[in-house]
Amino acid sequence: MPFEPIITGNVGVPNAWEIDVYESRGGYRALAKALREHQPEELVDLVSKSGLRGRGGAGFPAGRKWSLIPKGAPEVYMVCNADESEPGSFSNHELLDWDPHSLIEGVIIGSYAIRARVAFIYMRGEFWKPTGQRMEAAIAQAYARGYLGRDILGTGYNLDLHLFIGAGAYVCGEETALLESIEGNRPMPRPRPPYFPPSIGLYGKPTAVNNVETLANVPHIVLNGAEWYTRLGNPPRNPGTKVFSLSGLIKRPGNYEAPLGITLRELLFGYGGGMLDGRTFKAVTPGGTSTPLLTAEHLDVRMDYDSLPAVGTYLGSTGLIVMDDTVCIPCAVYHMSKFYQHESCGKCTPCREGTSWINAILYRITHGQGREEDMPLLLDLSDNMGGRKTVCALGDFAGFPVTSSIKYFRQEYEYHIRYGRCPTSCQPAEERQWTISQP
Amino acid sequence: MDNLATVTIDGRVVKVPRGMNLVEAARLAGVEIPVFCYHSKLKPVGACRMCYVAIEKVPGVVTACTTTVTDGMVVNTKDPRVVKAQQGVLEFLLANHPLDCPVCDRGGECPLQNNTFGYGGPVSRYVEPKRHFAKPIPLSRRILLDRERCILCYRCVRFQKEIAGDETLTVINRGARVEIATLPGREFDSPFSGNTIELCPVGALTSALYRFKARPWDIRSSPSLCDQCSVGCNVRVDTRNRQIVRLLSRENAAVDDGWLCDRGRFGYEFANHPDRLTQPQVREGTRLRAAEWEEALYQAAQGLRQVVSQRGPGTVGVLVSPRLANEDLYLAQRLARAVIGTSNLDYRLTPHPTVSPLRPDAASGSIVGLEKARTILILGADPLNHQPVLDLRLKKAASLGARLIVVDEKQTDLAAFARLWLRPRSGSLDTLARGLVHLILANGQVNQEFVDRRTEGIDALRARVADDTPERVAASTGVPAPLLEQAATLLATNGPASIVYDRDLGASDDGAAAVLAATDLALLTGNIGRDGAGLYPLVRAANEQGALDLGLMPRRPSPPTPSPTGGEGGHAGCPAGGMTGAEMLDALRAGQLKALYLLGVDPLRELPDDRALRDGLTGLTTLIVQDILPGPAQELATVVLPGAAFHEREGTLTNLERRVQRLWPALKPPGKARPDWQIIHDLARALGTSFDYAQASDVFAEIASVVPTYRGLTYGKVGLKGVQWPLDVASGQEAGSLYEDPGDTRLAFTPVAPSTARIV
Repeated sequence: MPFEPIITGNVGVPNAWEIDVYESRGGYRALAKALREHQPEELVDLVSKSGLRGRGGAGFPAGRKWSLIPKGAPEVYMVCNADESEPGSFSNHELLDWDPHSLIEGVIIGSYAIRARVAFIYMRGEFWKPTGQRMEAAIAQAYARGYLGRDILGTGYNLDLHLFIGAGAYVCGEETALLESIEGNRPMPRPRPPYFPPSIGLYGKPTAVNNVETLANVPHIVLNGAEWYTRLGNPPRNPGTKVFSLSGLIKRPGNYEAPLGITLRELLFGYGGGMLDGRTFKAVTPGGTSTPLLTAEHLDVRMDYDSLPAVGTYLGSTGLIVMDDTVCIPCAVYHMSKFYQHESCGKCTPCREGTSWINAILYRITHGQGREEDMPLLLDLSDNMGGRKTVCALGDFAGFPVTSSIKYFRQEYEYHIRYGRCPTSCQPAEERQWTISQP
Repeated sequence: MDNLATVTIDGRVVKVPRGMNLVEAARLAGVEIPVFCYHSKLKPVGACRMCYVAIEKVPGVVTACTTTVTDGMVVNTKDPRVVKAQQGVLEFLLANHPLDCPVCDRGGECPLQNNTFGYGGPVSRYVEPKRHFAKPIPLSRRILLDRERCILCYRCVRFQKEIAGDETLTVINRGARVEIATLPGREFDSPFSGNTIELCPVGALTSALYRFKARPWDIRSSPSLCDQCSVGCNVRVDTRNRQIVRLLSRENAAVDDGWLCDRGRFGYEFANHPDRLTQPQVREGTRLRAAEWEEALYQAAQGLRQVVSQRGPGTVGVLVSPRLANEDLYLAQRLARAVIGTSNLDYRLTPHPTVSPLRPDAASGSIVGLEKARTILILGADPLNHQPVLDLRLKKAASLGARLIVVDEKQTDLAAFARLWLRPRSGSLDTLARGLVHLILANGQVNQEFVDRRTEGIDALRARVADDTPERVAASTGVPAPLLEQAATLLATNGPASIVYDRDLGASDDGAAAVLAATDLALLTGNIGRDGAGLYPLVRAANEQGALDLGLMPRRPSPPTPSPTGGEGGHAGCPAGGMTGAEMLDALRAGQLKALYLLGVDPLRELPDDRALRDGLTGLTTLIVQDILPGPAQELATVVLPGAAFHEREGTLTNLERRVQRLWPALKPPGKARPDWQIIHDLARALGTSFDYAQASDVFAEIASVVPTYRGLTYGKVGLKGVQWPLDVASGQEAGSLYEDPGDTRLAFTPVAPSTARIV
């Protein structure tokens, strides 16, 4: 079946980030339709009926999230989470780069649906040049055309949109930490309960926090109807498309918009062009490093929110880092562990301490000093910091690559421990730098 | 609808208020849930992850501190998953903890030790070296931080943000590199910083004064009071080797809410000072020499007798410190009035302020009552500097929803927490206060029912403020009229409202009129006589309220002298009139005083250098100085009598909310020093009276029998938490607010122009 991209349609179009180009390609028509022809509640219904699920990773139904905002609340916020920081995920970045207006349009429609009068786009700090600057310019253009500000398109609806640039912390992708960051606090996730954003969010007010891709889908649903959307992808529970980021040892790395429910095989070997010449597929992170690994035995699993949990992993933010037979899995996981010990915010004891001990133990294993007891220790340690024992999921995330790689590649760990070197030609990683001694 | 939820915790069924978190609910059920970051006074954050519990029908384990009870909840704190997770948390915490307990101040009273003992696993499985930091690093000259011991519960940071409101501590870095830190280039300069030492669940924050001085098992602890200001925070005095090693909070929710300010917590060194007076001294020619009590008292008595007989009692003065206990003050005024026969008696050296005409002269409400207020007018008061822990209470009230209106030209600490901050030009406080009265009258926001039933004199008031229109007030104070309108409306319509002002405000001309207008505001809006609605003239010194209650000043009603038969004997022999402290100093400068008895007061230390004053003191025939440390006046003394410090004696202090609280002896006075009441008693006997008080409680019993407001009070009743006077005669219960009962007497609006309203 020929596949028409929905949200990446403007990627690659020259100057797609300029409002004239965007409008000439049908931009802001959905906004006009939404504001003129729909009551806010109808839009919430529409998105609910479309079955659109949150693209940030958890897959929570977007319409239901909006419907949790209390009706008649005097002060409500819409926040777009554009803090894409997951290792292996770069789909939002490309969308933001090429098509800032489709996000702005989605934000305005979403804000209207929950009756918010102030919205934020929280963008990862590293995206500032040129993505953030383009977004800033795009917002200014939208104000100038009357899509933002007072009395939008003469409908009497007012909305102010602020671009908030983060300062570079992975944890800000967690919605409550993101809200803390906007409030000017140190971004440490808030305990839920009681801080569920739809009831107690930004500045303590009801807040909808939606991912870039989720909101970018909204204008298309408004234009084409919920019915249209429910026929895409893998209905009924996984309609629509998803932008998959392929990276690592694969022929054609890049972002690919594909229907939800596509098989891993088609994604890697169809879209991605398969392995490098002479290599064989070994493992992949289906949703960034924060999801348990998949291996060759899983190639026929369908990539959607429900099929992946059935094989013990998650769709996450669809950052697929492909590893072939030249990759030493313990070394790869050691690299991932460096990320988590660096990015743990330090609030919860298990994650703060556990991420650095995992990193330290993996360093030993990958540097010829592994012990027999290290593998049970790693598993027990991951259990002590995972299983929702921390405020946010970072504690679980940090353990996923460890536990899943031990599950599928135990023999590689054993090889390291027994022989003190890699089973592949992989070079040991550089010196571990986590201990600190400073004045 | 029932406000309680029924919860089962480890098989124990308890009913607890809805909305309570599980840590507190478990406490009520008699089940301990171990915590590090949770503290009942701070918002739960769920950071340490120690308080895991398992709840039926909830997957996995959850933290008790962030979980509120629901009806029918079944909680298990001993579930195997809980036990494992808690062992895991302790293993994580200890993996980087230096385990230097033998040299750690916290060792022996350490929650980390206790929880490890109670909930920890047997061994650590990590072989990597621990995280290392340079240590300790001084956060301020009072507090040091050991970053290796820190378990990052963030209690200190949260205290500074949520309770102190100054955010002087912050968190830097991420993950295992996280540190508690001050802001760049700043030191930990909060006036409440010491509380973080007590909050710290490990030995990460240590006191520069206490470090390595003692271990918890070789100190003795006694209850006591902080005597640094009028709040009267309850403290625990820890002593070792006859020295105070530290003061800790002895939480009294009604007074201090469990907090101390740094002045109180660290300000005890005077008591340990090597120069403490330990021996009476008498003058011999140009110098003082040590003497025994008998000789010193004899000399003092002789000196007084001589002056009284030669120059008359009107040339004798007695100055007392408002930090002395009620027992000292009461005997001092009896000595002055009934024994020496002089009314030259005062507790202050500066002119007395004009005060509210309402009687008794005291705060009408309670400290804890402020939490019930919806609006609080803070008029020319700076609690942060004069009553620091009250500052915390006002911030707490604000966080509970009270709207603060700060009226002060200076930017006081509370201005940042205020809904409105009015900045009248210097000297125009009276105009502003009258302007508020005018607005409430003009806008018809008067609580007419209260005014009709309880007050008198509103017509005169109406006439007096007729000209204080918002326009004029705005012009002369510089405060925009809309702000005045908002302030008046808040006060009148967002009740209950309390008015807090510095009692010393009345010492200036504009302040005096403002104080009177404050009373008018309270009466006009009916904001007096119930929780949250009160008039709080803030006294400053630890027992200033006691000095007011016991009449330690001339020309004010004084306690009658008890007659030998037990009844009240009146004021026989006590001359009318008398000089205030300020007048006595003038008389001293003019050479008109011949004898002076200084109790804990040293005018040469407390007032600017003054040649005439020094000459006056030099020219005295008799100068008796009673104090605990040397001072400049002692060099001129004829007799020096060594007193006891707050922790070396029994006695009572009355705080700014009329709460009478007890002092207990933690140590014996050094050398031959004696409690002040006892010295006065001994001096009175040397003067030939039949004073006969065996112990401080005897003096207090007499106070309770002759001072109406103290009726019914005993040491037993005062106990550990103190009692607010007056006790209800019938029920024996304390009254939180004065002026509760309408009674017969009406409360009067300020009757006259301020210049003639000055009491003293």
